[in-house]
Amino acid sequence: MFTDEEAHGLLPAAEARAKNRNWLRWQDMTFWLVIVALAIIGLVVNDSYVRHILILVLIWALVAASWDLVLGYAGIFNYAQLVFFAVGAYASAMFSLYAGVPALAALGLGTIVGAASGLLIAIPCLRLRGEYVALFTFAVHLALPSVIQQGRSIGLGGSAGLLGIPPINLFGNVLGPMNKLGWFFFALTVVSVCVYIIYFKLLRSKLGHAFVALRDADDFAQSLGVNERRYRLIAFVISAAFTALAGGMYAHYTSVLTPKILGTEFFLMVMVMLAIGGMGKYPGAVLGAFIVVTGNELLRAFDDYRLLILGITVVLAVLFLPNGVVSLRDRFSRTKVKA
Amino acid sequence: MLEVKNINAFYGDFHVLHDASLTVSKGELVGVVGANGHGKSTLLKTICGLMPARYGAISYQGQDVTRLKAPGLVGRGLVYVAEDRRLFPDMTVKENLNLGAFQARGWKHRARNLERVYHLYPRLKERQSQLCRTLSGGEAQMVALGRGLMSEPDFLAIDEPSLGLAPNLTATMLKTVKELNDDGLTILLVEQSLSLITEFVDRIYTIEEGVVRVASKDAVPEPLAQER
Amino acid sequence: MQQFMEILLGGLSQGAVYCVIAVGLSLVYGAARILNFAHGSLYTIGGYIAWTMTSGYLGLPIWAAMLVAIPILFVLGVGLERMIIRPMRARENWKINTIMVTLGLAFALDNLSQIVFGPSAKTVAPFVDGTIELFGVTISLYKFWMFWIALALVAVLEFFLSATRFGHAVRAVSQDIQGANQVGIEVNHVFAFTFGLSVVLTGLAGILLAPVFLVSPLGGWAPFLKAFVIVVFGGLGSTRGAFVAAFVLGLMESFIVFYLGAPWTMPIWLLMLLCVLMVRPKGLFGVWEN
Repeated sequence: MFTDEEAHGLLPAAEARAKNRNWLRWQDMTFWLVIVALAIIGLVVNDSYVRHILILVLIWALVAASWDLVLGYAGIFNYAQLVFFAVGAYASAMFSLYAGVPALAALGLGTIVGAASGLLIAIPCLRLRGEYVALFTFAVHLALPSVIQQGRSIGLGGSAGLLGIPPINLFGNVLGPMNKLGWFFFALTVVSVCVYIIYFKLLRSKLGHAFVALRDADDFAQSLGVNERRYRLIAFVISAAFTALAGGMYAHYTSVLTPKILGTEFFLMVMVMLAIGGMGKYPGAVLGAFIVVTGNELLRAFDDYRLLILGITVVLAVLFLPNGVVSLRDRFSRTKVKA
Repeated sequence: MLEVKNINAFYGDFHVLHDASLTVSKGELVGVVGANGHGKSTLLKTICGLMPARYGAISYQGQDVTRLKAPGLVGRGLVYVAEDRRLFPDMTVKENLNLGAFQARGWKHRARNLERVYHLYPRLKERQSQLCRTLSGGEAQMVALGRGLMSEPDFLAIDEPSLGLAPNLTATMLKTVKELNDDGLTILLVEQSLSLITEFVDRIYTIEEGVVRVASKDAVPEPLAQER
Repeated sequence: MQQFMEILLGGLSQGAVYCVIAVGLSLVYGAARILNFAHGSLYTIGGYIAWTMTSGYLGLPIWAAMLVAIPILFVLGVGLERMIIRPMRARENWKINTIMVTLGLAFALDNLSQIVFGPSAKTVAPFVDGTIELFGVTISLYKFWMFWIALALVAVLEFFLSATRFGHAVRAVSQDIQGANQVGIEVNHVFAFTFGLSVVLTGLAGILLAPVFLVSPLGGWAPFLKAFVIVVFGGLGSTRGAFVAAFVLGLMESFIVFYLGAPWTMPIWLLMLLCVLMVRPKGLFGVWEN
């Protein structure tokens, strides 16, 4: 017969905790090592195209990480992630285009507007069951392009979009679309700090534990006093803020914005990032971003079939790699530690 | 007729049944008594194919049915009646009963079997067009039991039929169960209270912490005998 | 007044077809408990089948297209359920995985359609031309027929559910899965069948509406959204609710679109969804608590 310990795979508690702490420190170190390595690559590889890809990877990594926070960790079926992206992008672009706000400040304002949109969308979702949240948030995503298209008169640019978005001016360095090196380091700095905050500060804190508790054992967590509504709100707002920041960066980097950012391509890309990378486990989403953005570029040769392949990839990934690439790592690790 | 050998059952990682074994011979009325949370329902559900059994064997009428799920067992005449009834709330009494005869085995004779159930429970005939969500506890129990009978089973596994029933209704219900047994239906009955069923059953098992033990109707450990 | 009647009749006619899509969705959610995000893309596939069979290549009459489409769509639905949806059920977070996988499927289907048929919208000729006079208003004869065909489809479905053995099994599964198991219903078969049925219904709706809305790769998302709002308003799991809601919301859409214009369709439906969710998430005849 199976003993309880064998059945549950538990180690003695103290030993488990010590192993856990070491594992976390190891993750910290490797994170910064990778950032430094990226910095070196960006500096040394003097190829515009490579830097362009890396910049996109960084921007999307931030979006993926934010989505992972709300969907993977907090377990909220949010499908309006790109709405936050678009809000941040359009807000930042419009502030700098029409209000003459310096791009960097506009970026900050865009982030705040994005956070507000997260709040707005969260409110109806507070007392809805999982699937309804999926439905409602996706409905927002579906309805937004029409709103943008009809909003030409209020400066949203319609289907043609917004052009000539001013570049960011960082202490005299103009980060135009051609300044790949400058943009790369800007993106690297901003995104690495943000991703660090998300995974290493927020999700490891009491907040992160509350998210996971609500995701896995809803009723139990609530009976312990975890306020579901408050944490749902927080998850939405934080996720929206970071995504809006990424959106703003995207706007100032490409200097052109159209409703296409709410289209199939981007939505599918971010989905594949989470499906392939893995949700709810670091570094799943971020890894997914690397894989998908580079994969997407490699697939440009098959341009017609690219989106079809992405769609099929989602289906296959969910079927065969249910917890993403990250789960493969766990299969190879010898001890399973209960966090 | 039914032989259960060393079955184990799990809810996720949680080990509920530990090497449970029991037998029921044709025509018997056997009882399993245990307190809540000790695995009574899990035992019945595993036997009746609603939950998978790990490491163990179940044989019915001489054939190995360990891997068989509920619909397969119903086809062989083994029917489960749940403690929480599991009626279809937005269908009428008649529709619920008829669904009891869903499989080919009973479908042909459903009119006849329906009459039999109405004969057993005249109240159901009155209520035949009523939606099951509007029934009282006692009536729901009647439908649950009646539905179980519609497929002309050879073996009925009944899970805590007294749950939620007033004492007088419980007594009537148990008498009905005994009558069914007298007419030839083999029955495995699970209950919380020994004193409730001791006069009806041929043999008793107890289940405690997922472990099944043979018990004598008279010499049962104090706590169980005093439950009421 | 004339205009009012025109809008009213148009709304009723469209409402009837929305009914077909919504009832299929309600059925599949009720029985299989899944939100099929590919429902709109499958509607589009129906439209493309119609186009291929009629104006596009084969020049067959539309009723032939519908007859041929039914088995194709059914097999497609059952196949999808068994290969993609069923493996999800055994897993712990199957709900989110089902949403993900059906979303992925939706996009894959859209892009497949685009590759095969091209991005521009295809026209499908209506099987009747001309107009009819009703209550002093002239409406297209096609819309008149569409209304009755849609109602007939729903009536057939209702008959199936209330008067056949398997129909009862479908209702049973949507009400209590364990109970269905207990009476010997093969629940997996019911899941597969209901999914297949819902694909047939949405595909047929796609065929019916093809002459009205044209067929394009991304054209399924609007019906998808509408179908879901209708199902939520009617009450998830209640086919009768979906029936009533389809007409109510179809009429509302007809009037609002008349005043605001077609481009506002999606935001309008979003607003209607928001209202329903805020006021009565359970819907009109909701069977489940929220």
